[in-house]
Order: sequence, then structure tokens, then C-alpha cells
Amino acid sequence: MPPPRQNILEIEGLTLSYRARGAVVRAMDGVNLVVGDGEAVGLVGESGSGKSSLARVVLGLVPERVSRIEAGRIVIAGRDVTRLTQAEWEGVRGNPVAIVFQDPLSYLNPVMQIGRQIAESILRHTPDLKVAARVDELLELVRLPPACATAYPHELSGGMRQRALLAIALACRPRLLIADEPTTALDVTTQAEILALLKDLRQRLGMAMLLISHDLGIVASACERIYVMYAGHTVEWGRTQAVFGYPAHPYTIGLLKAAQAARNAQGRFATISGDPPNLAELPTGCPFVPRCPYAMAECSRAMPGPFDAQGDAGHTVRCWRYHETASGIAVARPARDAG
Amino acid sequence: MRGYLLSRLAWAGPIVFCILVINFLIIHVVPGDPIQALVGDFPTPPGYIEQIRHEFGLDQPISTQLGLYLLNLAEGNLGFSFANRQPVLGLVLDRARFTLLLMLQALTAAAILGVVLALAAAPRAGSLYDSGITALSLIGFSVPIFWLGQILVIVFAIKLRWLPAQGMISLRDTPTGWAAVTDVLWHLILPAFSVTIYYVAIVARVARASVLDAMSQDFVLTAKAKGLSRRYVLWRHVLPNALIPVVTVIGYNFGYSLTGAILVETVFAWPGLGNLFITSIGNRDYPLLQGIFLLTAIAVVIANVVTDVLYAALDPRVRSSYGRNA
Repeated sequence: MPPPRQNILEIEGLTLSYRARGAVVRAMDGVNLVVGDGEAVGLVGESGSGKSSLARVVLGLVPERVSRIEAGRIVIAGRDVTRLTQAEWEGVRGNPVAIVFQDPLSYLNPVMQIGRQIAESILRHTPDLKVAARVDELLELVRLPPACATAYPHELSGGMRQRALLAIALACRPRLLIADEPTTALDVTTQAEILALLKDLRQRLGMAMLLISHDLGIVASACERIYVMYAGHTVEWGRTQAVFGYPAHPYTIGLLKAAQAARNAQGRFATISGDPPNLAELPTGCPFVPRCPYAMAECSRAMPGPFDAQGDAGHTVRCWRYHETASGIAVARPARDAG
Repeated sequence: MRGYLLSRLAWAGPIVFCILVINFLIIHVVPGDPIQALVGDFPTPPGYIEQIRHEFGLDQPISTQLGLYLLNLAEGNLGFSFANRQPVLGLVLDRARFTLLLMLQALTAAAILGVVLALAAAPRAGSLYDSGITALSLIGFSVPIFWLGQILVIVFAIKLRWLPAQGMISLRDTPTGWAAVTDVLWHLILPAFSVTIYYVAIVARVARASVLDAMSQDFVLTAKAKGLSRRYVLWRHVLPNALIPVVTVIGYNFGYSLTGAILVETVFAWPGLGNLFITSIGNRDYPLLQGIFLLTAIAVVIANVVTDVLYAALDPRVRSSYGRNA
């Protein structure tokens, strides 16, 4: 009998706060997120929604002194890692979970050769003798020429640097790869190349991926399931087709409308009115209230849900009025269909 | 790398020439007449001063004097020290050895100790340990060398009688072989300590700030995310990136170490360049002063070239700006 599909990452009700100059900022509030083994999951949200904090907290990389996990837990491959010490985190980082960061120039050591930076990952996790051969193999895997092994980061183009970062992460042989805005710093053609590479590698290596992006199209094309984050809350999640085809949360609806309008480019873009909230002064209840066309008195009292959106198995939403929103608005799927 | 080195050296040439000219002119700007100093305040027969002035070529136009000066330099002739009755070059080089003995060890110790202290302090920024190191380096940096030197003499030489108070060799007996070496080292301890403290403090301050800065860089997150240990990340990723400002500060201070040498050598009667410098001012010994200026200026130029080469060795981006295979 084959073993049941395990979850590589489970985040339950995670609340993370930062303290800065007396103010306490809740970067994540009651966040739920699950990534199954081998699954591709997307996380979308605007800047400051807590996406990158999530990526970092899963590797114990949030600044220790100013951050605190106030509630919830993180389970990686069956192990509760919520309260690990920095030394214990070293056993999680790289393998089973590796990360590719956003800005490929600043995230590479400027005074160390690329090959050496890849070799460090290999030596740390699979200290076999043929390190040089494995470096060449990884460079080929991310489609970089072998000469890149002796190059320094500043000698490479943006796309090549992103590939190098990817090779560093893959050298750890992770079961879960977190890609934090892996294409944001790149031009459109390079973006497409990196995305195609990510998809291809994921299938070949059978690893799970958590793709974090503000770009709905990228996430829709690469991921089986989607989480939508707003002001530190996961507000809606489910299979990609369900969330983008029949969005139930007013924020997701707004995002999709904006994306659709941008694609059609007819007259003015649809926007979500208002600004993202200040995380240091979050209102009680749903953080989207000030910008929400559906807001009612109830919304300001408590964060709703999670509720089963009932259209598709696993489609979940945190909105009191999900029945009305889901039936009331039909939004076409965004650009770049899956597959 | 070679192109880079050549370009640095090419710059050094014109700079040295400018130094030579300025060095020559500056002496002519300061008040005081060397002939008067040579002759003294005694009454002299008429025409005698003019005769000496003529003998030394000091009655010729300044451009001719400059030409002669440069010509002499080219022959390795830095002039003659009237006060010491010795050629300047030999005298200056002889004394420079003793100053180097004092200063090179101070800067070397400062480089190693300062960086080690910074590496220990920066990761615990804000802790008691870190504050302690910061406070100590502030004190070490602020205490005047001459004052510290005198306190050390009072405590260790006069009260405790552990170490010699002055000079570089024992005057009562003349040891030979290893005994002579240990005798010099014995005399070196106090002056060396008083200068070293100052340089350790300077390096530690700069290195701490620069280690802290490097620790907050994004690539450190990548290194940590690989699962590498803290210590490994600190030594292999943070330190190489933090060294550039440290190299700058050490190179810069090498250039200024004559100032430190003047103070400490005066306090401890250490027979180095600083000491020679002070006496030659008192003697209005212009050729000697010029010789010391020249040697120090050239030492600064050399220190800068070495610093530039170290930059290139530490940072591939510096090498690249001169072509990768040049």
C-alpha cells in the first residue's frame, strides 16, 4: 500500500509580530497554510501583506531579537519547528526546506565565486567527494554554462544570477523549495524563462514548491493551489481554478478585477480603493473592512471564518458574506492559464 | 590584476615627484635662516656669512637649487646633516628601522586583535560584552599616547621596576647575540604597548561597524538558508566582506604612524625617526628634516599602493573594473 501523501509544510494559526521602536507590528495573524509533498502552492498578496515574513519564518530567518511567534505552530515534514533555537534551525535550512530569494544580486556573496557558493550547499548536505562534478551538474540543471563556476556574481546578468541562486538552493536537495518573488527583479522574457525552469525542475525532482508572488498570472500558471494573503491574514485559499474562477473574498475579487482590467487595458484600470492598512494599527475584526464594498457592522467585531466556500473541495474563505460575493460576481480567470 | 597593479604604480610616480618639489619648497617658506643657525650668534667678520651662503649654493635662484636638489636625490644624496655630521640618507634609514620595529608590530597586532575583538563583539551587538569592547576601544582611542606612556613608565618602570623606562638597549652592559635581541625586546614592551592600544582601539571600532554592516547584508541570509553554521557564516561570508574598510583604516594609519612615533619615541627616548624629527627641528637641521619628510611621504605612497593591491585581492569587483584578464 503506498503511504498517504504527507504534508511537507503545515502552518496553523501562526501569529508573528515585530517590535520596532515601541510599536508592535503584526506581520502575520492567524495564518494557515499547508503544502503537500510534491505540491506546487502559490501565495499571493500585495507588498507588506506578510508574504516574505512567512517565507522567512519557515526557515527561522526572521530577526530573532525583534520578532516573536505569539501563537500557532509550524510543522515541517512532521516535525514541530515553532520553537527551535538558531542551532537547531541549521538542521532544517537547506534540507528539507530551501529558499530562493528575490533580488539575485544582493543575495549572492559578492566576493565568492558562484561555484564555491554552490559547493558550500553540497558539502553541507551531501558531502560526497565529487563536489566539482556535482557543481557542473547543478549548473547544467539550471542551464548555466560551466564557466559560471569561476565567475563572481557581478559578472553575471540578472537572469543568470537568479539561476545561480536556484542552483544553490537545489544543491541542498530540498523537499520543499520556497521561491520568494523569484522573478520580480527580472525583465519579462527572463521571468518566463525562470518560471518555465522552476516548473520543469519541480516535476523532474519531485519537490514541493511554495511560490510567493504579487503577480496573479505567474502564480496561476505555476501552482495547483493558491493562498491569498492580506494584511497578515490568509483570507482565501483553495485549488487555483476555484480561487481564481469563483473568488469568494472581496479582496481576491478586487485583485482579479484589477488584473483583468490591466490585461484588457480598456480605459481606466479597476483598482481596490483605499490603501493597505498600517500593520501597527490594525482594526479589530477583518483588516479589509475600510476598503471593502461589502463591509457591515459584524465585520469590525471579529475576523470571520474560515468557512468552506462550498463550490470546490478545500476552497476556504474568511468573509462573513462569502455566499453573496461568490454568487454575485463571476470573474474570468486571469492571464496565462495553467498548463 | 596586473593591469590594475600597473595603473596604481603609474599613479605613484607623479605623486612622488610632486612630493619632492613640495618638500623642497616648504623648507624655503618657513622662517629661520639655516646659515645663521650654522654660524651661531657669534659676531662674524664681514662677508663671512655671504661666503658660506655661496659655498652651500644658497645664493642661487630657487629653480637652480631645486634642480640641484633633484639631481642629488637621483644620486642617492639627500644632503648632509650639519648637526649630526653625517649624510642624511644613512642616518634616516638607520633610525627608520627602529621606528618600523615599533610601528609595524603595533599595526600588525592591531589588525589581528582589532578584527578578532570585532568578530566577537558584533554578533552580540548591544550585549554587555559588546558594550564593554566598545567602551574599552573608545577609551583606548581617546587616551593620549604620551600620557599613557608616562603612566606606564611610572607604574612599571619606576614603582614596580619590572621594565626599563627609556631607550632601546641597556647602557650598563653590552649584551651580544640572543641576549642583545631580548634586551631590545625588553625595552620594546612599554612603548609598543602604548602605541598598540591606540591602533587596536581604532581597528576594533571600524571593524565592529563593518562586521555589523556585512552581517545585515542579504547574502548572509542565503548563506544561513543553506544550513551553514553561524561561525562558518561569520568567518567565510561576513569577514571577507567586512575587511575592506579595515584595510583602509590600517593603510591610512600606517601613513600617519610617524605622528604616533614622535609622541611615543619622545616619551621613551626610543631612537627612531620621531625622535630624530624632534631634535632636527630644534637644530634647524633642514637637510635632515627634508630627508625625514621625503622618506615619510614615500612610505605613505607605498602604503597606499599596498592598500590598493589588497583591495583588489579582497574584492573581485575592483579587479574587474580593470578587465578580468588584464
